[in-house]
Amino acid sequence: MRLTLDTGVRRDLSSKEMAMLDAKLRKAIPELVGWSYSPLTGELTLEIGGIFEDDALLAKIDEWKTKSDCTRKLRLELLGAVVEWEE
Amino acid sequence: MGRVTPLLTSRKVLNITYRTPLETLLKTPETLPTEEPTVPQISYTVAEEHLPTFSFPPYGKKWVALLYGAGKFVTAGILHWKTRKNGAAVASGSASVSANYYYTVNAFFFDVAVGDVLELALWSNQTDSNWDYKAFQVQVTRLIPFNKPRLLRPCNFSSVPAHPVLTLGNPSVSGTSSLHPYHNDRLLPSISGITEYASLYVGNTYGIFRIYRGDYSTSTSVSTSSTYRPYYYRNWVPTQIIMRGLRID
Repeated sequence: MRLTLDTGVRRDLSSKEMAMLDAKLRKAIPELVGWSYSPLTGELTLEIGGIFEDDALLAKIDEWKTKSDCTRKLRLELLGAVVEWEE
Repeated sequence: MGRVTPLLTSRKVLNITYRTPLETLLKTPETLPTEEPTVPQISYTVAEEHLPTFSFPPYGKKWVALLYGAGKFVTAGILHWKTRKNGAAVASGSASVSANYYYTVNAFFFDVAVGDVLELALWSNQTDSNWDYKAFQVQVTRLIPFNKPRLLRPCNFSSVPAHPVLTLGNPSVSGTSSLHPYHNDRLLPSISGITEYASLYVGNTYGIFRIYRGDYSTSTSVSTSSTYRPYYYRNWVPTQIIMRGLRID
């Protein structure tokens, strides 16, 4: 499952900043497989392993959303379907 | 009495020929650094010879570059990567890789042009990780066959194979992404094979289709496998479109 957050920050991350972000994300989201960040859009895309039932998935998204401090937009890509909504 | 211009154009066949992807498998794998390298390990400069060719020149199009980098982790760890276009960062990220697993970074660049320098840098939090494979192909998206007419009737995607086809290093496909046809800049249900449309209106923004990887989604993905390298994502792409234009505008 892919979850895209708008971080509101657009800049090139140094390797130290990437290592720090990686550690923080993995601490907050144990199911995290990988992530990508675009300095052009400020979007942070999380690749999350595991399968969640509908209610559990929504609860998880709320949990991650709170921890992420995302500012504007949330985009969920699940089995090829994309759901996007504004905060 | 003047001669009346036919309402329908003649039958047009647009053949799109993709170049064989550039592939390199190093004889000796190179160890990954533990910090971002000053010079990225993988670099390609887009050249005319990399671009798909057409049986007649379409009015509009965008180029998308697909760049792959792969290697192996001996000890489980975190792979870090960063892509750059002409020196400016496009995306960065990290991925977990299990011990003795291969990884493949699938990187995509939207709207590239001849002369653009595309790069992928790799590093690891382990000292015994390596890379030994790279590949590159350019694909076409947002195709506008003619300036006028814009209403195509019919428009048949009569050949839709999957590209790229990678051959070196024990490859396997992690996923083939659907083609996204458009009608008047509105998305139609995605397709993954030969498809005929009674009519399509060619919009200014998306033309008659968008490929998924590199256009509809530009996210770089890392796939891992205990067996395959590269373990890669690719696109369904049209290589033949048969159509007539209806002169109403």
